[in-house]
Amino acid sequence: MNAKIVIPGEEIESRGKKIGSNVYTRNGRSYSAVLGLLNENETYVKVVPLAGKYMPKEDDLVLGLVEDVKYAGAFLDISSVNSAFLPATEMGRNDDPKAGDLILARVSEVDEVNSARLISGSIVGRGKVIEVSSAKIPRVLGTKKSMLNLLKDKTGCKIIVGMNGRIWVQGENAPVVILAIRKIEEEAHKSGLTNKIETFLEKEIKKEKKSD
Amino acid sequence: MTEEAIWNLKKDNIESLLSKGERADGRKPDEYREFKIELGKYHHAEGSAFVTLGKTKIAAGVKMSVEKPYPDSPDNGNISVNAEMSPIASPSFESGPPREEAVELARVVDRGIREAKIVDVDKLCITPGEEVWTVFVDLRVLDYDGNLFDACTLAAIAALVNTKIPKYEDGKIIDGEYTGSLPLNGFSTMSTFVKIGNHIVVDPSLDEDKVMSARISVSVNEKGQLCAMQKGGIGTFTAEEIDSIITDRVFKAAKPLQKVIKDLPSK
Amino acid sequence: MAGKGNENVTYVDKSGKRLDGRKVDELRPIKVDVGVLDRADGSAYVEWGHNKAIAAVYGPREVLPKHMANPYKAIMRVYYRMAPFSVPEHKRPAPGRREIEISKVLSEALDAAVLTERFPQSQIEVHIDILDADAGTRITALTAASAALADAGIPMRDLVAGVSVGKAGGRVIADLTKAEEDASDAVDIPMAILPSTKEVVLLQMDGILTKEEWKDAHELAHKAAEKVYNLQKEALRKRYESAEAVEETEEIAETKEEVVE
Repeated sequence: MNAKIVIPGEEIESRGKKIGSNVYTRNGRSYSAVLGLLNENETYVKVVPLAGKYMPKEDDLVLGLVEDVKYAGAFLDISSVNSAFLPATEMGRNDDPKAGDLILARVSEVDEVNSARLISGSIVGRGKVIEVSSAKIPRVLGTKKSMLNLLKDKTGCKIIVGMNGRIWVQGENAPVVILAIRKIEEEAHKSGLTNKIETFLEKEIKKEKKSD
Repeated sequence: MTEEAIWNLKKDNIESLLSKGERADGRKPDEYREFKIELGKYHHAEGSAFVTLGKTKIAAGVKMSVEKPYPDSPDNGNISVNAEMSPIASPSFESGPPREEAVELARVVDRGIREAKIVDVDKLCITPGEEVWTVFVDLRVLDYDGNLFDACTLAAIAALVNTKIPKYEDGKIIDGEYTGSLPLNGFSTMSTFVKIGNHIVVDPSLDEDKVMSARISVSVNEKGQLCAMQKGGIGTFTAEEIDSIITDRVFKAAKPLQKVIKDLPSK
Repeated sequence: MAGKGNENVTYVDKSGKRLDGRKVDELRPIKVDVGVLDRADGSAYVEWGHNKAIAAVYGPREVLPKHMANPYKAIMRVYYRMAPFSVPEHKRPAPGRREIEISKVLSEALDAAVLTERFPQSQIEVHIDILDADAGTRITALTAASAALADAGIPMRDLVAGVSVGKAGGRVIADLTKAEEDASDAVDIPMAILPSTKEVVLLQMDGILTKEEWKDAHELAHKAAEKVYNLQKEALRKRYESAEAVEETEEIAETKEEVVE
């Protein structure tokens, strides 16, 4: 099966199907609203975007960068349209956030202008952070987290994936994980990715060992 | 603006790597990123260059214009360098008239070229006291991935090397006809070093640019002479650090740039 | 429009060829590339004949100053600027009246295509630099801007595709060059449409035209815009070329869960 790339305004055959996200209708016909991959089965049709800002969704775990700290709480950049607010009462007892800190938190609500309110915040410790488009995060996780588990098992690294496109990696093989994530990012739309990444990780880790 | 705020984590990483003599992108302290120069891309410009340094991208164009000379130098042409840091290049750049950063960038690049006397302004006189050529070098920063000073200097010099003088007859520039290449004397390159903690590296990447405490840009010519300098940032350099950069490190670091510029085909 | 051109020039010869050898409905060579810049959310570079335009898109992001925000939709801000070296005579770097007007009409044309109602209280910015100019820069800019918006993943009801048509030497022609714009009877009509509905989102004209000539020019513009649209689509697809089977698209797209150690 081939996932077709669709362009904004491109007509999509949708007769008798339920219309999913990023598809709009006009005069009974359906069109894509974004640059993305067509995703359909017998009952519904939708478009998975290939790029774009992170749109916070209730319950998402995100990695936010502290921009500003006020008495009531902290404002976090979560690579979205607006900053997210994390009330001081939702920070861990020993956590005292400062501008520039990275915080893991959960989205508790999203208002009509796509601003998120966060809960259960904790400062993330030492490690490397990389940013990818949030549209690529499902590929970094893989089916039932298969890709993420593969990355962890092969490298022994601790990895936190924020749905907003930020990924935190800690461990000796962190550089290998980052290379692998860049590869996933580049080839996110291709098939057989898990196998490719497995081969890639094995090769890279061997290289690392040799150079030691 | 939060965008250029550096993550404390990244800052820690950059510093802890540097204490082991390493850089986040694997370079040595005196090593430049890869760079590329394309000449003559813009057909309305008398000379032009498109330069990439890392992912930093600069479009440079030279326009030649006939103007009245300054009273104190009636038989010399002039050179003018301008740089535009528009939001095309970074989410944190703002539109509107050039701000401090863009003005400093343009003036530092200008001095590196002017003081090295690269453009032979004596040969740019048409009628003494009446008409001389003004060489306008315009730099458009298109993608900001660190180190605009060196990238812009590279682009400006390459565009000058690529420049032809338009044919000028009866008070008019003849479109599309030329009388020869712009008279140049050698060339210069600029090398920018930044201080992060107690470490000093050349050609700062975007992250290094964000965390550095102090910066020094040094322009040197093809004869190995120093032509211009500019210190920036709120941090300090020790006298020893400055000496080591100016008497030694800048010459080593600039070698790959100088080699490429020397081999550029002139017009 | 009416230029200073020589009345004796033959703008379209007996065999239907123009000064540069093109047919009356033929466009100059056009090249579209998307995703050319690293820092922008979306970007595109277009070469159209000698014209060269680069566009960078940011957003949707917070509106500054805040009171400019619209509670019902995202505001579009377009900045069309010309590099000083893009024209025969060195241009002052500060934007002039022409650049400000073009920015406005481009912003309205793009606003018609973007689903701005999805992002109230935010702004979408398009910054365009013209690096080389040879008649038709606003359409070159629009072609780049529209592709860059799609590249940024911004929801749009359609792309915007445009072209300049007009008249020189008494003939209706597509995509005028500078030499043709200088004809004494020259008419220039930049026009842009939403390709899926053919709705017109940008239209300007200067010069003298009969009703019949307008009909021909209008028809020609629609046909030519279609060609431009195909190039934009091709460039956007090319960026993700060989996109094959994502067997698990269904599932991964719905994945909401993630992992914390």
